[in-house]
Amino acid sequence: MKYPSDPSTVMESKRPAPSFWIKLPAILAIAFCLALGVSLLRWNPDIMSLRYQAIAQKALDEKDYPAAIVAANRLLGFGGASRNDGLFLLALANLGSGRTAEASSIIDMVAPLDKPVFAPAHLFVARTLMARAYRSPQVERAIEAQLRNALALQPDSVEARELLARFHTQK
Amino acid sequence: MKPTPRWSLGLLGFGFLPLLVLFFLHLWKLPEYQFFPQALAGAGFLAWDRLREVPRPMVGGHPALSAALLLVSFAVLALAVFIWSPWLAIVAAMPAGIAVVWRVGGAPLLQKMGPSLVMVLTIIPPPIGLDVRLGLFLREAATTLSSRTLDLLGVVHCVTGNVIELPGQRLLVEEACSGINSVLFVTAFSLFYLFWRRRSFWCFLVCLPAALAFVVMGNVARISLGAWLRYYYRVDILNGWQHETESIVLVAVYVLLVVSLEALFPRGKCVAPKSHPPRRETSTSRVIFPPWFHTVCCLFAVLGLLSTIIAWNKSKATVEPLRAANSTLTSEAAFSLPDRIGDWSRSESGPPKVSKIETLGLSSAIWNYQRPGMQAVIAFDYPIWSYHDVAECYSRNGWIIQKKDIVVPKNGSPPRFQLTMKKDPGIQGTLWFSTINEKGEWVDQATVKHDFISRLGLPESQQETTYRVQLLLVGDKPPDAASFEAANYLFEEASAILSREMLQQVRR
Repeated sequence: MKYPSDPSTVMESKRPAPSFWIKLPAILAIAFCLALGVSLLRWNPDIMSLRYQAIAQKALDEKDYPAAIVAANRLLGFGGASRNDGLFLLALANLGSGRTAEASSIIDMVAPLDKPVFAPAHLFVARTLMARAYRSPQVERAIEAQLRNALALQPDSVEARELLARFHTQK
Repeated sequence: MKPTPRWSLGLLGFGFLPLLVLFFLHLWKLPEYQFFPQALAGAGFLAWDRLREVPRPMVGGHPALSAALLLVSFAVLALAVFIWSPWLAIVAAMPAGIAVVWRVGGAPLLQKMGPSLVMVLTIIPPPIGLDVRLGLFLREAATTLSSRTLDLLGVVHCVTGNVIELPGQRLLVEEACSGINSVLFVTAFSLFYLFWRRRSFWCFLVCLPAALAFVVMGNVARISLGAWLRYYYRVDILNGWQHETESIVLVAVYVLLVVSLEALFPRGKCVAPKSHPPRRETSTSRVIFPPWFHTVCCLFAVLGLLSTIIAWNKSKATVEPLRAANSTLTSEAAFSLPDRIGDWSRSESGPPKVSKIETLGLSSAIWNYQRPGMQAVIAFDYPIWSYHDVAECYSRNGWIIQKKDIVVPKNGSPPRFQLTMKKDPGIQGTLWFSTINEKGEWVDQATVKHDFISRLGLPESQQETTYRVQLLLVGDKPPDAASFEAANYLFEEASAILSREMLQQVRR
């Protein structure tokens, strides 16, 4: 192939139309961008939120706490209704991985004594406190408050009723 | 002796030379603009290519327009010398260049030189930090799009700021990954290639945004692929030589895609000239400049001489402290804080990992302090080249900055930035930071001056070595008034001690 000696005369030289092969990368790139763009547009936060909830729960069941922490953090990022789920799962994952200080500070957010926030967290705290061999009057009050908070959120919760009944029986 | 046009043009060029040299030296420090030699070469090639198409003999434009442009250029250059802004100097060089082109060849020549001027514009960083904002936007976009792509690939991850966290691993989406470096280069290359191919306006309109889309998608693909490989196969391609190689390969791919995309447009749309005058007729030696032109060029040369003297004095004034700072603080520097400051006492444990302090600089000394119910971390980062707003580091790592104030105490304590931040899950942070230079001046207040020059946000503002003190207070809730005052006191005491120690060691 003979090239023109002056690069500026490339425009004027009689070259054939560009071959299909030189156009192919751009065609493929445009197709890739379109496909990725369409896939990303179909991304749905509600579906992802449910998916990450399942992933976090599964990771906790399998004691894969690093994965559970990441999944719970992601769940928190979606905000909205899944936020308390995310916080509770994050607390459990932190507890599992030995980060008790962080776990307890998160539990304080989702299961405070003074107001009902998230029923599963209230039940979890109540269950944990009830499992103690020795319970001070302060702990007794905390258990009752946690169970009442859980019932305030889920009046039909069989587990909450059962725990409350057991608590009073033991008392 | 009658001055020749070349002699006058030489004087005109000398007027800009000192500040332009500084401009290009500064530009070389910015990785995203390191393509400027190629861009200038491209501009030169386009100018050479188009020059021969101008009808001969060339007819110079009306001298009044040249005079007006030179007047504007002189005023801007004088301002550049006065406030010492190399950036303004290159801005001033544009109207001067246009004035000369206009005078030499009028509208036909100016039209032909248009592409070269556009090419030069691509290497001038925009004012008010627009390129920095573009970089931040691209980094956010790259992180968000990569996160969604990772969702499609089934990679469990979460995003905090510009950090993608995988189970047990963290990936920081840095500037290089965000594509800002590639965006500017690919834009300049696309412009050069399309100008060279003499493409129509519509081709530019399609190719330039498409090239930018390729860059963004390329970086999303790079980050997603890297995270995917690390998650499933523990293979790291986002660090070390692999990262550098990927960057080179990606830039080559972008160039190929621009060439390929251009080929998609029908060739009939090219606006190629039918014939050119012979090259020997391109000489401009016959151009006659008006008598006043030489005088104006002499005035520009006076500014050039003034800039040279200022540059010489500045270089003498800044070399010594910098040398001292480097020799003292990188090898022998030692900083210490007492075990107790007020009712704060030193502790070995720091706040939880999630709220670690963000440091920057070659060295960072860190101390943990506590008092009942509170934990604070103090860091001293040094040496930092120029001023750096540490708030950006916190934002990048997932902190949401709710409030940022500059506080100027009346008791002579250093002015400081005070930030209120939050981060999931429910962590509240309060940050104080102050920056001191080697002269012992606290410089944070100067960065928020709302005068005209500051608002311009000109690149290459004063460059100096600085040292930063910061205090981070974290908790489940914002500190109450008493805790806030206690932390404020701790910050003031620590700042005073650390700045004193720094100055003693710099001056030793």
